[in-house]
Amino acid sequence: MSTLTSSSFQILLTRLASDPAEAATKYEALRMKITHLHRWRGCAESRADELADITLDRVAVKLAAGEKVENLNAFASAVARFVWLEHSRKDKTIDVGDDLPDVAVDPDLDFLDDPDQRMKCLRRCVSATLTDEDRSVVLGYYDTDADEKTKNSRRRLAESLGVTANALKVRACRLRIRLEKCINDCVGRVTDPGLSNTKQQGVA
Amino acid sequence: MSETEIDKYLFNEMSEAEGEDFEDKFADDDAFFYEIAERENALVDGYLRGRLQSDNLARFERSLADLPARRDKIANAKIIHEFIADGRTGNKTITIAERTSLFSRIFSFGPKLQFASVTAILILALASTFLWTENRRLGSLDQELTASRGREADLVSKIGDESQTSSELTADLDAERRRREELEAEIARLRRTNDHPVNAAPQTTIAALVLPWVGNRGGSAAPVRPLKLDTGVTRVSIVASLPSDIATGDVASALLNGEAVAENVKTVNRGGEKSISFTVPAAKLKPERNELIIRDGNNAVVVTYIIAVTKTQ
Repeated sequence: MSTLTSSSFQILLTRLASDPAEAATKYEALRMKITHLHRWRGCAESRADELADITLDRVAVKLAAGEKVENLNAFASAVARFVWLEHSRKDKTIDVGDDLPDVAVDPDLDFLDDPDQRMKCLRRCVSATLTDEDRSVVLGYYDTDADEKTKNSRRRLAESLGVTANALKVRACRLRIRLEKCINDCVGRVTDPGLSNTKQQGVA
Repeated sequence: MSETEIDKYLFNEMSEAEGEDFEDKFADDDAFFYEIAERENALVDGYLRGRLQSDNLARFERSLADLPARRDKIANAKIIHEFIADGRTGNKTITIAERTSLFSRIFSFGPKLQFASVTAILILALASTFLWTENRRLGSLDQELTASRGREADLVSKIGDESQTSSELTADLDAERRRREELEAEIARLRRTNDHPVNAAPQTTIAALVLPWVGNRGGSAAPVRPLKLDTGVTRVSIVASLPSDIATGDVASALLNGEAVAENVKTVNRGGEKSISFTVPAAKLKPERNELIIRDGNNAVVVTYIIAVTKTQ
């Protein structure tokens, strides 16, 4: 298999958009989708980013090799499934989790990691990655104390920001994904302890 | 794509072909991707808040076995909820930690602000003490006012009672005064009366004349001691004795100087002697000689008395 080079990566970006900035944005968006695809396929949180990078590298290499691709995003999706398949076959016990029960009923979430440490990570991530307005959006949109109140509060929040309800939903979801990624990067990888060499960030 | 289809994918319930088609679509459609991601957020949030329907709850929990990343997502959602709840509370109240931080910030602004803060605190303490003292004093005065009002009410009541008593005493006094005046008038009158000679004879208005029976039946008139009539005597009471053997009746009549002065007067029997009593106006008695004829119940003459009268001026 060819390895990723700067030229192949550039080919990928050019294929996404002619404008470098727009291309970078689309690259990050595609990477996020691939990451989620792996998670929804059963990949552990700790490996999802790694597999997404592998996927996109292969896409870039394929493009550089002259592979004819009509729909780049759909092509990347197909590559991601292959990458996941390879990974799950190679190290099934790690990603699928054979030690987990077949049916998880009322899981004890506290065993995942130290909640206090995760909360510290959350606070740090809120300060580091969210603006005041982003923070208001997250707090306002996900303050789901009651269903009826939620609908009204979200409608008022969208009105106050001057956006549609759907645009607000996309924005809130994007912010939550960013926030959760920051938290996951911050805390230790407890759901996949076999990956001791995974990058971890300490919390002050 | 419907929510049902999205849930089917998120619960890992699609066939491989369905899943591939689904993934190709969201990979090429940002809006659809966020639709799915937000649906997963809603399922996780609903699971943590216990709002999942029983069917979705079972599917969700089953998916946790195949999707370890979702367990991290649940852990993240849990602290995000706590963070939101803290933020909601933080907007309403100030935590102790934040108060401590506030004091720390105040005392980190240098000696001038520290001095100003201490001064403000002292002023506040003095003001509080002053207000507390004034409040206590006000309470004490309030109690005194209440007691004073009670005493005032008692006094008003007593004054009312005394006024009534005073009115009664005034009436009594007036009555006593009237009685005194009457007594004084009476005394004065008595004194005026006492100014006359103590031994002066009372004014006589009636004279008594007793005519004893001394003669026989059918004889001449019995001698009678002369009657002296003083000035002021207006009537003369006459007791005329009758013969004990008056034939018929217990009544008698009298003629003075031919004029009837008593008719059918009941006779009185005292010690075997009969008599009649009657009164005649003094004016009917003539000076010097008067004839008094007594008749019985049968109009028969019983006795005749000759009365000599002397009138003084």
